Amino acid sequence: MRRALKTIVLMLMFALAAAAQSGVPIISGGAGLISTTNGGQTSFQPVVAPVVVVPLGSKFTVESRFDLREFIAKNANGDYEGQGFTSIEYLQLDYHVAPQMTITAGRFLTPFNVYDERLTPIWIRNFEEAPIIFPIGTRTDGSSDGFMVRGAAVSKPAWELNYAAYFSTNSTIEKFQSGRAAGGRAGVFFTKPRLEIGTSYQRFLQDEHYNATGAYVWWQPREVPLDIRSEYAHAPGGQGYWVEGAFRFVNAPVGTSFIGRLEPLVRIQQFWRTKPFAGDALPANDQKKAEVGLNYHLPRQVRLNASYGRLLQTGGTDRNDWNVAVTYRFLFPMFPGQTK
Amino acid sequence: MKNATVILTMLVAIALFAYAGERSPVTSSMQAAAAAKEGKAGGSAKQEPTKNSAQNNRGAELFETHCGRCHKPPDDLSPRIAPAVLSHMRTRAMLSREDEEELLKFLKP
Repeated sequence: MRRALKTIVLMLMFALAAAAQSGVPIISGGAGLISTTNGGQTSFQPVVAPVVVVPLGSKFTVESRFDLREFIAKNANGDYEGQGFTSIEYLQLDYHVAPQMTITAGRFLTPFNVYDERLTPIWIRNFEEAPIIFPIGTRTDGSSDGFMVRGAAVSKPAWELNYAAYFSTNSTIEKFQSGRAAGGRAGVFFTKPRLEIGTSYQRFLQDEHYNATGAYVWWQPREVPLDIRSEYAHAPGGQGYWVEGAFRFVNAPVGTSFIGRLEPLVRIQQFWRTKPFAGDALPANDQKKAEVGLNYHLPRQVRLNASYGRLLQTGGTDRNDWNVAVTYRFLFPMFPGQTK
Repeated sequence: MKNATVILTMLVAIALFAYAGERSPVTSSMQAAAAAKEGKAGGSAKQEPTKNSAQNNRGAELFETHCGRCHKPPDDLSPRIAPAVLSHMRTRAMLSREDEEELLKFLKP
């Protein structure tokens, strides 16, 4: 733990010293307050997830995201009690080796499908709870320690072929846990219809070796302010999918200042347990869940979010899940100075 | 219970902070991005067809293509921090150097 902290401090000090020559580092990220009621049990989570970005000239970037949260729930006596959690989601050095190719070393978000990389920030995700199939391909905790190559292999006006390939080592260092695995993701994005189709593969190389595969489809048509996102994933222990839709009333004929900020949401997901598989972090039985929600986008990057979901599970108790959250996205320079 | 009260107070404070800010429904960059998504020329109806607005349209288009698939544009972006923001997005959105320059013009016009 001490060695890991020393490494982080040294990396950041080096990065900050170098950044003084090449640009202003930033602190970005999200903060929020999440209230969750699952099956009648209510909990609160104040969360701060800062992202630090330190550009080092035009070729290198050091970036990191931390997650600091307090989990507050009732204890056996009926009193609210809090427990703090901190995690390092990524701490990586990017080398921009070519215009659309980056080599990354360090701790990074595992590029299996796209939820982990694109939708995990609390100020971006529409539903505060991750999809049921999220653990597939992201074992052990969504982050990998190792190397990654990513970029766009082909970039045409009409379409783009993007990819990410990585190798992760086994790590048991506190805050830097990761599993030994190799894999990658490839996707084709059609710019005109704004349709992206991709696939993922991971070979887990620790303890029992096995494959995880996935696919995703995102469609955000130009004609309407609609986002449709979906993923499918398969692992030896089970398989499942989720489909999410979000519609923004930006073109409302009346009351745009109020209605235009509304964003109704819906998500459907299903999971089938194939066989028991120790430690795969997936539900023990088949599950299906339907959720509806609403985002309300306030000025200054503040968002109110509420959702309701009904979870149906085989061999278990069905339950209602409620989430209410307020999130805030912040972005400011690390050092004070003149605006221009 | 005490914690819950503190959290509720924080919630209300954040909401009040947000409402105390600007009143426009969307910022200019969001309007431009929304217009780009709809394929309209110009970031807003009032915008003149100048060279700057043409650059903004291209930048807005790029924002919607590469960044807007996951999130909305920031309300405003100081020129001091724009390079760092783009450096961050370069890795995630596979931006080319040309894309970066166009986005820079759009985000700090």
